Amino acid sequence: MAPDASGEMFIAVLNDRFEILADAPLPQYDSPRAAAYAARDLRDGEEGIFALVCDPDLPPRMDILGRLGRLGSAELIRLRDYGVVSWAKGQGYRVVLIYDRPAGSRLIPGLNGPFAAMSEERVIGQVLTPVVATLKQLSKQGVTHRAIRPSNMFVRDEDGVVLGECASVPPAFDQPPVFETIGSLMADPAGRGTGEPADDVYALGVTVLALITGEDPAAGRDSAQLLAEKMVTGSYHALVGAHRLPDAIRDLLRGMLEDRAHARWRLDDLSAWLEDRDMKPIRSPDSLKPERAFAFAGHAFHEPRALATALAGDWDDAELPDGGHEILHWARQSLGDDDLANRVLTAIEMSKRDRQSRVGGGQPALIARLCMALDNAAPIRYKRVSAYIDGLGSLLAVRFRDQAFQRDATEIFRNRLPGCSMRMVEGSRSNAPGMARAFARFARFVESGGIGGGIERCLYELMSHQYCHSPLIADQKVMRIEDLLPALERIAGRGHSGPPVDRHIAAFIAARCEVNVEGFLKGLNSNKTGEDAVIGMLGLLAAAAAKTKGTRHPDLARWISKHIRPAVESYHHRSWRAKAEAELPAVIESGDIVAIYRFVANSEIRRRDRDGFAQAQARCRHIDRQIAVLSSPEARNPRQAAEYGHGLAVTLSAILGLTAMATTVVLVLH
Amino acid sequence: MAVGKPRKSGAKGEGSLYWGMVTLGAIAAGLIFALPTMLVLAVGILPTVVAAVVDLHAKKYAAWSVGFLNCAGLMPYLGNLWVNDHTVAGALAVLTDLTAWLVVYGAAAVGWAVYLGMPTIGAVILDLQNQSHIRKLRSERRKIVDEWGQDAAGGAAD
Repeated sequence: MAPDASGEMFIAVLNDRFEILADAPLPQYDSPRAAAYAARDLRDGEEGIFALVCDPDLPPRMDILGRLGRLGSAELIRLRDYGVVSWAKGQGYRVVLIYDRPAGSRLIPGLNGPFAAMSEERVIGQVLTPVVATLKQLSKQGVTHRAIRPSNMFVRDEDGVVLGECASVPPAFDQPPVFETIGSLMADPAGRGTGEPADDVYALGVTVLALITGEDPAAGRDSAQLLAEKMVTGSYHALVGAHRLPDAIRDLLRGMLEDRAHARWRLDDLSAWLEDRDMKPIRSPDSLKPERAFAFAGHAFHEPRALATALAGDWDDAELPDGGHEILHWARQSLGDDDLANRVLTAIEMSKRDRQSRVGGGQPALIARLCMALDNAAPIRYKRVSAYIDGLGSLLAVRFRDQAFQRDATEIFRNRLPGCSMRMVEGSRSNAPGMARAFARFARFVESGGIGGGIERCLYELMSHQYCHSPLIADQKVMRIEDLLPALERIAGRGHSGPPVDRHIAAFIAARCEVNVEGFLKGLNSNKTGEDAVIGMLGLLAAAAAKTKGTRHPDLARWISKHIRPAVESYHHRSWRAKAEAELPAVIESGDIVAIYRFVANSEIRRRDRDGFAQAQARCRHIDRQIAVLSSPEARNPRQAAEYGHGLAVTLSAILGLTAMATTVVLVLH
Repeated sequence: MAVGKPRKSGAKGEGSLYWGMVTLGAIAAGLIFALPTMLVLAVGILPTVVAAVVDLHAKKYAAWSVGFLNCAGLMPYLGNLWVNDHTVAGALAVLTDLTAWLVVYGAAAVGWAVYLGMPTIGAVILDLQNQSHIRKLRSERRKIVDEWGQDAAGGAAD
């Protein structure tokens, strides 16, 4: 890392304990997407550690870091600490992982360059045995490694290796295609998901093969070619090919490279094999060719997985005019697979229901559901998106800036495809019920589509350490809500004309904040410039400010003040408005965002203002009606005037007459 | 309801009969005990009787207007009769006095003039009252607008 603009070397400090020396890179410990730097433990001055600084555009596996830190395995690189640090000036925040430095160098520098083949015994003793033990420990913690490859292993001694790090990028993101199963290869590298221990066993099998043969098992084939060959001939034949291997190793690799995950050797099977090397893999049953092939796009398909792959391969032209019923008929009559036929029926009925309820969907959603039904081990495939459910978040994070991808991802949530996928593969992947509930919320987010919802909210809900993509602060890579207002404070003086809350910031706060901010979001969405929108904006910022109690943000407060006039002007009562206008500058100058929110929102005064205004309006309407009546021609009714005049005449006559009579009586008697 | 109606009209009929009897009784008593007064009254009160007959209004404004002043015109002559010469000859002297006729019927005519002229004045007074009420209402409206803004009046100026 270069020195900052002032020429000083930058030193970041993690959790008040680890100094990260940005001017001392350690390229030998670099991961493909994360740079390694020298680090020092401030408690004891220890320097046998290094810091891996993660790429902010690739979400690290935050969910497993705690468990990795607690793991006491000598065969896995030891994670000492982790956290978010403010990185060199103007480069925002980074997730940093502190690891112990491995004693030796990498087992091989990489698959591309030449490397010497190892003897079977050495591979089994130095690599397979310790890695299986480590994977067992990881499995007990519910962690999959997903980065097992020869270049991610460090030599410990002649008896063992240390497995490299696996948390700096999404699961299996850095894995070359050859180390991934058929299903994983179908997924976008960022959407491969956490996976199962069986995925690690597969990668370990490819690692063993590479080390024994001294060659890259991919042998110049790209991802698509590898996928096609693995699907047609099976992984074992596609990778082992013509290599001459001892029978025991052949059995081992057959067991580890089995494409059916349930039939692949488990870690206990590997331990058993390591003890007596006598275990035999389960032979794949000879698949019966169906009576009739399914014709699609000019090709005949005998395998449902191949048909699903073809359906998912051409989203522009794929058409199923019969709504998928022909596939259902094929599954029932020709394949004779009742489970598969039931899944196809479920997919058809879900699509029909969506069309009736006008949720959306159409052909692409139907095809996506049929693909899930035909190949329930495959990832969700929908247009540009291909990911396992537990990889959707990381894929969204990695490709969020791609507008077309965003549109497709939105459609996935709107069409509730994750829920459909979970129905198709129920029980086969972990923590499905929790995710089902979460994804049901996401459908509501994208359907509402307002500020604080939409695909942005899905992103921040799915990825707990995703930095805020708001154009205002994206360069600062804000990952924690407590860093949000300081980031806005830093840019407040740059003369932004718009408000300090946009779609991303609103979604970021809503996803990260522990308090309920739905009322503020409702206000923000009610109208964009009125009182409710201003109070909604202030409420969100105040919710974020509550995380940094006591911190003043004077520049941000001044920025906010340019946008809160509608709320101050919304007071109907002139004296209250005048009072608010008079007191506001002092509140703004305090820089206390919570105080500004309380001052502007002031619910009691606003309630009184609203009630008083309603009464004033009612009184004005009444007055207007009265004036109209009194000014109308009817108010000069001659009959009414005559009645009134005659009454007056009687009164006048009575006064005159009685006065005259009384006077006469007095005069006569006198 | 079907039972109530005849009872109501019966009560009204009974009331009229009662007052008719009282009036007849009073006239009879007057003829017996104050014949001179009754003679003067019978001729002098005629304008009021005519007004009561021609005025179809239930409240008989014309009769009352004419009646008060008609009585006021009669009062000097009746007073003179009662004090000086309460005889039939005295009554005939009043009835043959042209000035007395002029005074009594002139007073009744003033009563008619008041009755006929006051509606015009009443209309003017009513109009003035309305204008005053409108001014008060507008003043109240202005105060509301001053306090709550033009929106309280629906955005319309006064």
